[in-house]
Amino acid sequence: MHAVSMLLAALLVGNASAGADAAPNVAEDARDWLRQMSEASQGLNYRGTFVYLHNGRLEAIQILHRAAEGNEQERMIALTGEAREVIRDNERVTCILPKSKSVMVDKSIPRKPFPAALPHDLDALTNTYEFLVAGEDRVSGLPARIVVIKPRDAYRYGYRLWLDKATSLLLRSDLTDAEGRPVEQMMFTDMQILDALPEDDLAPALQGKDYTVVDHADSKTATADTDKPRSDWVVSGLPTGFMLTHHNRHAMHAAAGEVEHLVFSDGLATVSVYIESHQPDKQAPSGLSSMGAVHALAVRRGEYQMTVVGEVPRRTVERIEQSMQHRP
Amino acid sequence: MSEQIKEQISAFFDGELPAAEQSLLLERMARDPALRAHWDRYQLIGDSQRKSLPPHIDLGLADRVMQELDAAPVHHGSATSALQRVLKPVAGLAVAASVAVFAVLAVQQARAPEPGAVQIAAKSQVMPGPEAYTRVEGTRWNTEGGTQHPQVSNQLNEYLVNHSEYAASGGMPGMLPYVRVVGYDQE
Repeated sequence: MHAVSMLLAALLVGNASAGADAAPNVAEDARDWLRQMSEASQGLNYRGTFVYLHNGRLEAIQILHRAAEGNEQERMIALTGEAREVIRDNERVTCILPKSKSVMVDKSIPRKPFPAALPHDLDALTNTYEFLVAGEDRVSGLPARIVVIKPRDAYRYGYRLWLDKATSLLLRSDLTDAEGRPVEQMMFTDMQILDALPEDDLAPALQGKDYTVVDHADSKTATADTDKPRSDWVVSGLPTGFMLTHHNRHAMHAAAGEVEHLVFSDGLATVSVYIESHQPDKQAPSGLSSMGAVHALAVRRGEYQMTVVGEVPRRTVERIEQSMQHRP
Repeated sequence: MSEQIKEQISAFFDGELPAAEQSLLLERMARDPALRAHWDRYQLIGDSQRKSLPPHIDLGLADRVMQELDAAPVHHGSATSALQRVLKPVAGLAVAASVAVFAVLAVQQARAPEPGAVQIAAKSQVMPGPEAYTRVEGTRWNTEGGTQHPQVSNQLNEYLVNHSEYAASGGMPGMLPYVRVVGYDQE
């Protein structure tokens, strides 16, 4: 970890001058603030409400986070529109979508401290992003430090993060395009740090008898990263910095058979590629879809159906789709 | 309403208002309904002049978000006080709401404007009452040809939920990836 810190510090120093009203040791600061943000978001008990802006719509979401007995539990509830909920603990993730009367359960993957990238990945991370401390501001009445993560090309988004000066918790986050324009924004309007949070508060409020439950939590292959599955696909020409981080096969409700799943990450942005058999009698996604900052590209490749999904710009899902070649 | 404020709003729309003044302006907007109404009208006029008037215009976004928060369902009782507090730090809310106005513009410009609506607004510059407008409704998945078939949307949703767990474990820390799952209302 020491080597990682040294490397980060060395790389961050190079970018320090770009922060307009930055302190002398901005590099140290940017690294420390982001690490503290990661620790705070995982290790504290808190209850808050934030607004989330996308495509000109505002949603209000309540979040409860409990860290006790080595277990991290998180619950998010939409306060506007449909009462969607996501509940996550160390075991599983449960998403409840009342309008489509569906519950999706998936196995959770352990969170790693930030940056999750391995030391050799850090080169790639700082090749593709600049890290800056960009002054101070107030969010929801709290003094905040602004940390900026700027992409070096247009294949990924940047971040502008407002962190509480007292706890380092994230108070506001702007996802920005290559020109620095906001694509998605979230901002806390209320945040309480608590000594403890009752476990009952983390239980779902929604009860649905006729809900469709899609449960993958006990699926053996859900996170089998160690035994690499044989793949009929070759990857070449990924956007700079993107690397294969997970590769597995798992069952999915939407697909008839197993789905081959490849995950590519540049250390911050993540893109998934799902490959399944093409089913002629089923309506499959087709072409480009978007949901705020998330882009999805679905194409038919011979007897396969491929879907590329990620919180990246359109060009990135297109480039990654092109980089997938079927083994001859 | 002073001319200075109007000039500030104008500068804000042109992207020329310094950051320090932006937050002051937004704080004032949060307190002053008349200012918010002016903001909405200003946006509409500017929009029609750019011939990019959207088919449906969302007036009073900032006000409605507060109403929605007010009327939001309460979970486990304990959220009541949290909701009440939401209404207090209105400055923060107004920042998001004002940015939403821009986002509405940005998103709508990508769509083909309805010719009739553009003409009426551009000719008269008289703002119809709020009842003449319908709310801008987002869709969960937007495609180039419109919206996705529900069955297809469900499949994309399942992929997104699955993907979010990988995004949360390997990329940006915190709750950000799941915000999308919770934060997108479905049509």
